[in-house]
This record gives sequence, C-alpha cells and structure tokens, in this order.
Amino acid sequence: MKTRTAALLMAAACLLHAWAALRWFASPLYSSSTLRFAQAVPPPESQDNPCLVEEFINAPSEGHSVHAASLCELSGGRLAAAWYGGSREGGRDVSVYFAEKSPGNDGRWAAPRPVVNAASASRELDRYVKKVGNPVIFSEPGDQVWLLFVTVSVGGWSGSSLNLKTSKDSGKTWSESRRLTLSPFFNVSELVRNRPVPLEGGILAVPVYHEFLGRFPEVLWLAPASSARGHTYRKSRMAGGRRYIQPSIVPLGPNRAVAFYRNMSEDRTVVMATSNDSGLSWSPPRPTPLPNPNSGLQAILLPSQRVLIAFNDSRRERDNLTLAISEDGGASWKRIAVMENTPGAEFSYPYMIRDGKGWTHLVYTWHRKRIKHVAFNDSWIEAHAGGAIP
Amino acid sequence: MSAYLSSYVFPLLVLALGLQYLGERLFRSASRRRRGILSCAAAFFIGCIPVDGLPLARWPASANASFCIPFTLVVLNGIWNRTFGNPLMNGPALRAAWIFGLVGGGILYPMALGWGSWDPYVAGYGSIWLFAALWLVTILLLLRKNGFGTVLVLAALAFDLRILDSENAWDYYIDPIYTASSLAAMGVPLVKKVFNSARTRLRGIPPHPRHD
Repeated sequence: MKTRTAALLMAAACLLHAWAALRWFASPLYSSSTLRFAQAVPPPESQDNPCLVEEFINAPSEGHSVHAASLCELSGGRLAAAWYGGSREGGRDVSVYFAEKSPGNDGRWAAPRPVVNAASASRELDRYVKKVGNPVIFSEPGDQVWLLFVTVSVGGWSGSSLNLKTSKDSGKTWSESRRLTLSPFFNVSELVRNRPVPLEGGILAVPVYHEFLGRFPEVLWLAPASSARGHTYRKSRMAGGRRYIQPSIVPLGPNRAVAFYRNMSEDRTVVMATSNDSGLSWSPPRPTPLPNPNSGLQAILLPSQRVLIAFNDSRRERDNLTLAISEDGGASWKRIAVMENTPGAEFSYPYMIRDGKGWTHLVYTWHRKRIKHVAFNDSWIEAHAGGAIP
Repeated sequence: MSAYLSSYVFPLLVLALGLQYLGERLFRSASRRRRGILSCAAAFFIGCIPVDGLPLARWPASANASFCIPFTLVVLNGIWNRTFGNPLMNGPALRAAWIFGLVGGGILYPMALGWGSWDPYVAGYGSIWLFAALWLVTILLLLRKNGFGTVLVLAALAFDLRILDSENAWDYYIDPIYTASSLAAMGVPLVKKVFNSARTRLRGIPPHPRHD
C-alpha cells in the first residue's frame, strides 16, 4: 500500500466514523437526558358504584388453541386486542388475530381476523418462517397502531426474531412486516410479551427478553420513523443470567420505574428491579413476596401511585389468576381479588391497560381456548382493596 | 445497494468459492481464470433457483440477518486469488482479519448471550467507545499499511450506508461464522504446531515434513 493511498484511506476512515458518531448523537435514542416517561395515568372517572364487566373476545372452537393476548385503546374509546391461535402453540397453522371492540361497556367485540401467519410473514420478510407467536399491540394518539410479534425460522421459541407491523387506520390495513435485528448471534432469541411504555417525543420502551444460552430481560427502544428505512431502534439490558424473562415495566415518575420479572429459576417468586434513569439501567433483581410458577405477569400504575399486578398466585400452577396492590412500589403486596381459580385449568399471560376514562382492562388466556376480557373501574378496586383477601 | 440485495452477496460468494474448489479438482486442464468466471456465473444461476418460493441464495437470510463485511471480503479475496492468481488481501492482511474476527467475537458473543449484566452489542446501536475503538484499529492498521485497514474502511462505509439489514455496527464488523472461521484459521495451525512439537520432544518422532 502506498503512503498516499494509506493517507487517503485514513482521511476516509475519519470522515466515515465521524459521520457515524454524528448520527448516533443526533438520534433521540442516544441521549439519556432526552428520555423521560410520558405521564399518562388517566384519572379515575367519577364512579360511585363498583363495576366489573366480563366477556370473551373469541368464540370457542374445537381443536383451536389461543394464547398470549395483548390489548390497546384506539381512538374514540375503542379497544383492540391481538393474540395468536391455531391447532397448538407453535403449530405451523398459527395466526396472529386482531379484534376490535366498539366504545363503552355495552360495546361488542367484532369477529377476530387474522393479521399475519407463517406464510404471509414469510412472503413479507422474504425469509422462511416456520411459525409466528407472541403478538403485542399498542397504539399512539390518532389511528396509528403497532404490532410486534415473533417469528421462528429454525428451532423452538429460542429461535425467535422480533418483527414489526404498523397500521395507520386502527388496524384495518397493515404495513408489511419488518424484521428487527436485536441479537448478534444469528438474530435469534428475542421475544416480546408485555406492554410498552411511552416516553416523551413519541419514543416507546418495549419490554423484551432473550431466551437462548442466557435468559434475561431487555428494553427495546423504538423511535418514530425518521426516514424511508422506517423506525429506528436500539436495546439495552435489564439484567444478565439465566433466570428472569418477560419484564413488565411500570413508570412511577418521569425517570423512575419498577419492573417485575417472570422467574424461571427454582426460587418461584416474582422478582423486581428499579430504575432511576428512565429505564436505561436497572438495579439487581430482588425477590418480592409474591409467588411465580414460571409464568407471565403484568403490572400497571393506578392513580395515587399504587401498582396493580395480575399474576398466578402459586409456585407450581397456572390454575388461578389473582390481583394484588402495592403501595410502596412493589416491595409489599395486598391481594385484592381472585379472578379465576379452577384446579387443573390454565389462566395465564395477563395483560392490562388503563383506558382514557380510567377503567382498567385485563385480558388473559382462559383454558387455552378463549381470550377473556375483564374491565373494572377504580371503585371496584377500592371496594376490593378495602376488604382485601388474605 | 438495498439490504435485500446485499443479503445475496455472501451466499453467492460462498457458493462461487465452493464451485471453484470443485472445478479445480474436476477440470484441471481449464485455466484458473475460466474456472473462476464460470464458477461465479454458475453460482449466480444456482443461487437464483427458487426453492419453496425463495431463491436459494436468500435462504441463509432466514437463519442469519446479515453477514459482516470483513468476512464477505475475505471470501471475495479467496475467489479473486483463485481466479487471477494475485490476492486482494496479502498474508498480513489476512492474519489481521482472523485476529479481528477472533478478538471481536471473543468480546461480543459471551457477554451478548448473557454472561454478565453488561451487553457489548448494545454499544453497536450508538456508543462513543465502540466508535473510537473501531476508528483506532482502522488507523493503526493503515499506519502499518496493512490491507485489512481498507476492509475496515469499507465496513464503516457499509454501516454509514446501512447496506445490511441491521442498525447495529457490530453486525457490519463481526458475525458468528466469521468468528468460527477465525477460530479455525488461527487455532488449527496452532494446534498442529503444538502437536508436532510435542511429538518431536516426547517420542523423538520427526515433525511432519514441509512441502513448500
């Protein structure tokens, strides 16, 4: 190599790295000072009477298994849910379904329709896709809806990759799937389960997790589309090791948050961690008094800074679903209601949101056959919190 | 070049290199230039054959999001050398490529896959230390007039242009196959050397004769 060529290449290297650094600095995802949780805990409606409404989103169907529901509020007070269903979990015939509910408690869930399956994902991604799963749906102000879901090309769930679809018309039509590259090792073992947390500036902190050699919780940071290439993203780790997955993040202030993890170890307790920098770094996980039978859970923030959690109240089984409240950010808990309890049955993967009127909506897998939707107001929570169950 | 088109490059190059190797054994009388050009043409046509709705060369993308630039250029160097008889990357450049793949993969994979609570892969989305380290390695190699420095400049250019299906800088510099190949390229001669020297010392058996 001639000296002049080397000098030219060095100049090129300086320019290219400087350009890369400038792009990084310009990204809203780069600076921790720009990341602040959007405070969006809707105040309670003036409610005198405790009220709870229960319904099923999908009709039962012989030989059809459903799981992993998520929920979001659309414009005009409508609700939308997404879950996956097929002959069995991980089957090649599994589709991600989408259903919409008209506003109000007397509104009805429309018939579910498939949004994506292995064949359509394979077409859209120009890749072989064996199965799809774990959809998480969330909305932005307006009619923008996001759908994150996993696809597997090789192996089981540990071979999952994350994909994103968006809709600009509340889920009537969807963009083509886009695969996100989140793992350096063949881009596998990145999964999603729980509710994303909005930040100021339209950024979303999506709790995701890795499940391959290690099993650990992470945050996927998604920024709005700034170019034709689409949304920009990055991720950060919440904890290492082989124990904790499916984080549920609850913002407690502009920069403070608490997260609860599904525990895959023999400890069989719900584990929590805290953050004081908008979720960029997290404290080491520590156990809570709540049991966890290696199953999904979810928590949300209520007015007056109390945390409500939906979880399986057992160290072994998913045959009950319980609600508990914490007034100290997750350190201690008071069980307030048993939503389901049938020995041998399965009630799992709870997912909660608060709507614009201050109602809490809970969806979960019911016997693996149906997705159940339960809505309750704050008076109902107060009535049960007052006479909390032991 | 779009991320979609760039996903074809590495599989087609590997296919061409494999065909070239096969051609050297089956068609010894043909000139190396002819074998090289025909191998590349055959690889292109084989890679475009649709299998289950996807071109054959697109199938590796189902299992791996992107193949890194340095290893793609190492494979290209192999094809070029076999076709034209003069390598794009000389001995020191290739050695630097293997060391880079081994050290980069050694830093990245254990921690990115869960060892410890710090994830170096996160730095690939935006980190001053990773940017500085890559820049420093590139400049040091170029100061030594090592050809692998040029490869790293091309990797930086590819990252700025986002020609792969990834937003992460690590994916432009390292991939698991590159690291495994680096381990083999660095490890096999080392194991052979240690084995031969042990044989000589312990049993008095002479080492394998050199053929060069």
